[in-house]
Amino acid sequence: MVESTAFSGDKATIYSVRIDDAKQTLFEEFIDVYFESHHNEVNEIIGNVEKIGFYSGAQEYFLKVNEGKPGDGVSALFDKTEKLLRVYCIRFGLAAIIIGGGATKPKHIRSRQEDKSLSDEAGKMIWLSNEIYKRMLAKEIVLSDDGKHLDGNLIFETQ
Amino acid sequence: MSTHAKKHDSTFLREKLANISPVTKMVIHTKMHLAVRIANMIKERGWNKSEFAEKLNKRPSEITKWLSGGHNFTIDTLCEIAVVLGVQFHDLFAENKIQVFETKIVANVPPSDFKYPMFEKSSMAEEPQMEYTASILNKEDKRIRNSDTQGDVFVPNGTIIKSIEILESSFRLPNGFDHQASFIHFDIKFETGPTTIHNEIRSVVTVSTHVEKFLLEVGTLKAAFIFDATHFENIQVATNNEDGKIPDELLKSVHSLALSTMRGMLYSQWRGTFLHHAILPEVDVNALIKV
Repeated sequence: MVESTAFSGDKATIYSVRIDDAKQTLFEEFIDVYFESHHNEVNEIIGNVEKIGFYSGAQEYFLKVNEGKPGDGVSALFDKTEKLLRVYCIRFGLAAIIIGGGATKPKHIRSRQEDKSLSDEAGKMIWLSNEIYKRMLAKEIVLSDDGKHLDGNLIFETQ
Repeated sequence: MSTHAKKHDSTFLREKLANISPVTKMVIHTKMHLAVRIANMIKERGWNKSEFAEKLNKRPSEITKWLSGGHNFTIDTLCEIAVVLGVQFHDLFAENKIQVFETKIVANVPPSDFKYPMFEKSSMAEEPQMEYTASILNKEDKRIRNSDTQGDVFVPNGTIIKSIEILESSFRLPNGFDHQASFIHFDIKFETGPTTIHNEIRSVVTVSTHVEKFLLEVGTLKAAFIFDATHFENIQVATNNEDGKIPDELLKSVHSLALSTMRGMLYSQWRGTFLHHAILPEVDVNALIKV
């Protein structure tokens, strides 16, 4: 997990995930892939994430909860019916959020499980959410007193 | 084992952000601001999403869409929302005018008292004796309508606490605590501003403490107070107040009342802990420093 300094501000710390030695985070990869094809929507997502960090915090009502299984902690950010893209995230109160990857959500599918790209991206975040939850139970990861930082062992190894 | 996440400063992201047009930036900000503003107004009125939807004759899912942060509201919809919320159209676009004040005070707690109380009468701190009268002030009680001062302590009159919500309450005994520390430091912060309800003021008060020799906070209490200022002299705190500024005397009244109530709440929260004797001293609200 890394802290994205471009988005983190007074209101919230924005985290993302960088896998192994990749130069880009999952969120950056998502932007890179869809920037040309969904220019306006991607710009809106980037602008919104910046506003979370510097203006509003991660308000619960910005998220569509339970995008994985109920209780897995993974939500979709700014997801609306008419939008074509979906980004996954894990929220820790108002002031800390992990933004992951995303994909297009074809109109014909009813759930993310029907689309491989969406399912893969959601799967990564669900896995991460479970790992963080376990470490929080073991007090290996804690939310700082001001709620803005996740502290502890933030490096995860996939099998 | 890492402690903090590694900072990731991405030129790629900064370029993308810098290339968003000013118009798009304004659209994003306005949509998000409206969502936050309307959500706050719903909360201030004590409604949930379903109740708000019912008042507007809409489905709750429609409200969910509005609050998603990216909804493109029509003027018709915004007018409907403003009417139900009882505000002017332009109030939906106003920024919250929060004034922030801070102060730091140090209280002397004798070393012998700085330990776990044994719950014997002699070891119990006395309940703080402060002016609580205003917190139970009857709106019609003319006897204490006028502001007054007693010595250096401002006595709050004419404002009534409508609600209190504890936002955070915690304490922790630091490792190596030797019971010899004799001073406790209180950092007090007020974030105060008018709500969108006529003559209503919200003040979020944070009292955090640390014991001398320990840099870490040992206890925090954060609470949101809602005040009704209807009977504060004849001063009206209008929602469309141009600069959103609360008159100084009213601010003092609100802060003084919040502090005396916090004193009791702190006593209640920390009673029986190692902070049992750490009673918030009297604070001269005139000495608060505006941040």
